[in-house]
Amino acid sequence: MTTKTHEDALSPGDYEALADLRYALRRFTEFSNAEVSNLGMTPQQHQALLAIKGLPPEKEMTIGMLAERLLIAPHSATELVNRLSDAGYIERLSSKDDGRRQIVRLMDKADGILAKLSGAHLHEIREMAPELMQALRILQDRRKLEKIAWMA
Amino acid sequence: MTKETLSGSDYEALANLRHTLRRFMDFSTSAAQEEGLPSQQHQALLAIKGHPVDAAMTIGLLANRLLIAPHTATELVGRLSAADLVTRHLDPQDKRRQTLTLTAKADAVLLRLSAVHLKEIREMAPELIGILQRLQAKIS
Repeated sequence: MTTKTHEDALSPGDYEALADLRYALRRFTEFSNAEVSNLGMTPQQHQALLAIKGLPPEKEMTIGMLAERLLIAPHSATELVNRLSDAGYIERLSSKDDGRRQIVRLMDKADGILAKLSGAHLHEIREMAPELMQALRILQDRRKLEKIAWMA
Repeated sequence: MTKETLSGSDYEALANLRHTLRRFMDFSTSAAQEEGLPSQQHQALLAIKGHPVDAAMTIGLLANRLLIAPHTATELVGRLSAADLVTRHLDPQDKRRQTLTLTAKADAVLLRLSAVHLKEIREMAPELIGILQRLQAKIS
């Protein structure tokens, strides 16, 4: 066991940075949810489309991978894929590498909606980024400062 | 601002950003639950604790910081007060206002929660900063 007092002490500045970080993330989530529901989608549906779109080109998205990326249960991912497929956003097909494997692919309708949503999100992220990075750096730097004090 | 077309790697960065944030939120919700706190109660305590010392936290300010309706904040503070986590005082400067203070019990819970959050944030920070810089880079 290492000495606990050294690790546990948080300064008022740490709490302020933690609170600022969460405030920035809440505002971003709120912005995102509002944009998405304006276009008649749920946040989870949007995140599913983005996860598929954001996959490196050499990779194929399976339902299992989608569940992992969204941190949801496999059966929830199956239901989500069913709804997105019914709404004409994605299609299911067999993998070229392994015919037994089902993969999902975006349809033009999804590409259009993602282009619209992602442009707005990029703008919002750029607005939020300086504040978020500042909070992250305050919370990181403390360790560096501590290390220096520790070694001195 | 000209409308820019997003590249494949922009989408990849956006998807990675959201994945990183989901993992963090998931971690945070579980950590708060282990302390017996719903996520929103944890965030309320943190917002009060992280408020600059020279300014008093009120229910109205708390509602602003949590992005919830004032009546929801009133209910939340009622529950926190019943759980002996927050005390309400009349503001000496403005008797119509109530200010909020954390109890020793809340301070202890928050210290434990914030220490594990700090550890998680430090692990996530390099990746998160990298993605944010990547998404900012195209501005100029």
